[in-house]
Amino acid sequence: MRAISRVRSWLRAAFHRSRLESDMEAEMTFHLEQYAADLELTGLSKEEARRRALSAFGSIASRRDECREAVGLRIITDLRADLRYAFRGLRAAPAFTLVAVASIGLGLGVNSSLFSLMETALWKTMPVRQPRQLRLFWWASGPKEAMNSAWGDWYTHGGKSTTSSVFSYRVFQDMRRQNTALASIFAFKPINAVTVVTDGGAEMVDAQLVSGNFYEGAGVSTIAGRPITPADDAREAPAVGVISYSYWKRRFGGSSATLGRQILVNQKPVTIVGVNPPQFTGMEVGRTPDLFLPIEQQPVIIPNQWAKQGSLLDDPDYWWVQVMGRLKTPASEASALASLDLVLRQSVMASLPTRGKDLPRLRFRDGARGLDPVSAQSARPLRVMLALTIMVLLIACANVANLLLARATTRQRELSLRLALGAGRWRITRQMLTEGLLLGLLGAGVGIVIGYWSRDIVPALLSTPWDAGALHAEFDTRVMTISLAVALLTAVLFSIAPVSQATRVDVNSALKDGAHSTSSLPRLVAGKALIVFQVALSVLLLVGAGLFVRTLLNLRSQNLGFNPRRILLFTVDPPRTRYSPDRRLALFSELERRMATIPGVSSSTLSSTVLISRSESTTTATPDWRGPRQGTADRVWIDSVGDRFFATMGIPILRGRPIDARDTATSPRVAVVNRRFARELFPGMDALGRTFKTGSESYQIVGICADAHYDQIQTAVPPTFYPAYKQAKDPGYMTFELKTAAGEAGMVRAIRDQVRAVDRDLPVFGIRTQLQQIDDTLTTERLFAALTSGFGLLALVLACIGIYGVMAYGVGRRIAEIGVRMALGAQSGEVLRMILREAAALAGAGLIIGAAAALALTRFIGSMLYGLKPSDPVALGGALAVMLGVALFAGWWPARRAAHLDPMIALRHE
Amino acid sequence: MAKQVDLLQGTLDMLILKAVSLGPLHGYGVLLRIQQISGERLQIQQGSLYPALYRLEHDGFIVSEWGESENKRKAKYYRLTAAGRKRLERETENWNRLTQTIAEILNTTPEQL
Repeated sequence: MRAISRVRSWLRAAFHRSRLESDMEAEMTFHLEQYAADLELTGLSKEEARRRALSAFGSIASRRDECREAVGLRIITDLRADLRYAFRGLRAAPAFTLVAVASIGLGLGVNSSLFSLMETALWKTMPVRQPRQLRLFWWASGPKEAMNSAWGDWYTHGGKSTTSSVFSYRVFQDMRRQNTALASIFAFKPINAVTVVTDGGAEMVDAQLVSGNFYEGAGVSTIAGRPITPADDAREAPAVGVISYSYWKRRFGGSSATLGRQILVNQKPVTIVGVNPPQFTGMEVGRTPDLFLPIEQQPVIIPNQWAKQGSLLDDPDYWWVQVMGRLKTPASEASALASLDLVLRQSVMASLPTRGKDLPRLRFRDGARGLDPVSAQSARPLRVMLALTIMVLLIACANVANLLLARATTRQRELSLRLALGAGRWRITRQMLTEGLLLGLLGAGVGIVIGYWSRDIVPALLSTPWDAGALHAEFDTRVMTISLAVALLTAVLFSIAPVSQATRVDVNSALKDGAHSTSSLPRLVAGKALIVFQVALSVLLLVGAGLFVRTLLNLRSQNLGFNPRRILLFTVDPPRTRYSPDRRLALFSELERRMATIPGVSSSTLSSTVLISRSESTTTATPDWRGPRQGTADRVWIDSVGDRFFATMGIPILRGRPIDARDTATSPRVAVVNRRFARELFPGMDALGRTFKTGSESYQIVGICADAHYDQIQTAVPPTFYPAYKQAKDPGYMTFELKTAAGEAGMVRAIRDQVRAVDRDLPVFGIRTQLQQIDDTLTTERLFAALTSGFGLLALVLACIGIYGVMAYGVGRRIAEIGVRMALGAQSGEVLRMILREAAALAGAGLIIGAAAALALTRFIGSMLYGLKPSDPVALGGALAVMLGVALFAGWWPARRAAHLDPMIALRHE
Repeated sequence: MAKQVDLLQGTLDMLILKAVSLGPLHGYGVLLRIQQISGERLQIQQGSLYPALYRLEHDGFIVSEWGESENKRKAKYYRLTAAGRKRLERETENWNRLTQTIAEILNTTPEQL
């Protein structure tokens, strides 16, 4: 009650200040006049009465001050005075202010930039109505799942259980129809790129299928036209589509004539009926589909090769749709889950053979971020990055604290004087805190600007250059708020040392003595402790930089088993709606033939999997012999290739022959296997000429090639076999590899012309070199190498400034002592060595602590390293050597100054 | 003139609350009323009245509004709030208990021990 009244009164006073002042004036004037009038009645003259009234009242100004204080206004006036004072102080020392603000700005900027990345990757909810009400459906089942096919996430937890978030269309429909507990249940499916033909030509576009009630249920409204509605949810309905805002702007120039336009999607006509709002970018973090289609159009637009008549909608054994629901109230969640779990199991029992199988149990997960494969993957790298940026901030913080300490020392006389004149220690503390906070705020301003500019650096380093990056760092109010909060915290942190120092000032001795008072000793101790801290953190960052750089170098210099130089890649994905398996094969052969005719191409081929692209195709294989040690190889890797694959990629054939023109659709099925495959499936035997089976297919081994890395460099070469793509039953998309004589300049145009000559509406996509492709699998490693190196450099610069500052201050303090030493015969070389020894000792403590911390902490990044241990002596030794070198460099200048002192001047110094 | 006594620290607030509890008053009126009731025995520092009034209003024990004085002048009138009344009762009780206790101590004779 009293607190509320106080706050209200304070607010009134603070915001209606002039009213308060005029009221006070009127009230006191009234008092004085009344009193004077009463005194006059006792017979005094008017002047005398007025004089007595005034003297009885006392000082009006100080009474008013007391009144202001009574309503809590003092803090405002004080703050204003403190701020003015702090501003003046900072302006008077521009070099100090510049270095301090730049330090905080840099330290905070990297954090701010990271926060904006975390906002996208971890925190931000989808821009839909009430995202917190959304629940993503998933299920858990025993190891014997009832369904056999799935398209989507699928986790087997050590063979004990299986979890997934995909459902069959039938199950979704049952749940939707029988739902009473949730406000709505809707489905969607991010699908692979589809081929879209507009006036602008053919291109690959990321698409998403949605159920008819998706827009209503998810709470997304279109900004132009209409959304997809339940009326579109019928196979016979005319195909319609809603496009993303960015696609609308990019492809159609944002024209209103876009609505009602027909485009070809996988060769099928689709009418554009609506445009999504700009902020809505789909339901999956890290992907931004441009085309939204009714889910019932799946059999028409993306017919599935394994489903009856291409329809996944009617196959209860094929689980593929993502399902979401919206809660009515938070309290209804448990009962909704229970009732829908029942529906799920009934639906599974009604549509699938369940004898001897485990039934799935329904689960809910927070759906506010949609489908979110990013946060789980990136949480760990982001944590490591956050640890790095916090270290940078702490180093910057230590630096500013040191600068402030030095400043506090030079201001000691001023502070002592103020203390002597009666300023309270709390007043002085507050004064210094204000100055710290002002520095913090200025730094925050700089930091937020730096963070805003650099917010897309990390996503850019992570993105694939030939595939527009979908992750965009968000710089919103939350990022700003966190950055500001961190800035203020930092300010308090770096103000601690100077504040504790200032309040310990001994008034007497400080006033008596000059700059070299007794209290500079704690200043030096505190300053040295800060330097040790800074050096230790810098060592940590440098060790990290060493480890990540060496990891990257190890990966880069890894022998791939093939020659990636001067190889140009591009991908072609003929839509199934237009190309039957036979026609695809014919198309690929035709393109293969045409590519060889392009001038400048010395050799060309194609393959189903691009090497080192983190994508893989595996199967099980059974060799043609039986013995005690033999079984089936659980997993072998497969890459269907064209003629001249081995020559183009430079993979040596060790024995036998490569895949070539002899291998056709009608000739016996053959394969080339790598050495590891031969060794593992045919131990101690000659694999050449033998056969092995994968499922129903049987292959004869016609050649053995050297081991070449398959999906990534980081793991060992897997057992791999290379069949001829021409002998595949149903090839999917293929990637062409062109070995060029010179660079790839001008080649792209020729490739597009050749493809267009065959099929005008067939898009060519993913044009990149094999080296770019390899680099793309090293993005995380490259990112960490770049970040830790950058941060390490920053840390070195800051540590250099810090060490220089402390050493220079120390030398300045000891001029007289050095003068005495030199007068007594010390040589300048000895003085130089003495000072350098001190710098080395100072750094040494930090080096030891830093090395110990590095040994303790680097094991947390062990899994991110390649080809070296976390305790790598080269990285550790290198970091220590560099840091020591920088420390000596920073100490060199003050040391030289000391060594070149003229003893006479030095002795007269005080 | 009766003998004047100095005001004990902290009692001014109590006296102001008491004065205002008898009816709304402007600042000068509070001064007059206290002096009147005390029979001129209490001498109040005139200026110190206002910071006390502002403090009490800040704490929500009294509220003020502008009104007209006896001689038709604009004046700021203070009125007791419910919280102020409670406060006054508690202070009065405390005060009585304190004075009584002290009086007993001072009147103690050796025989009573």
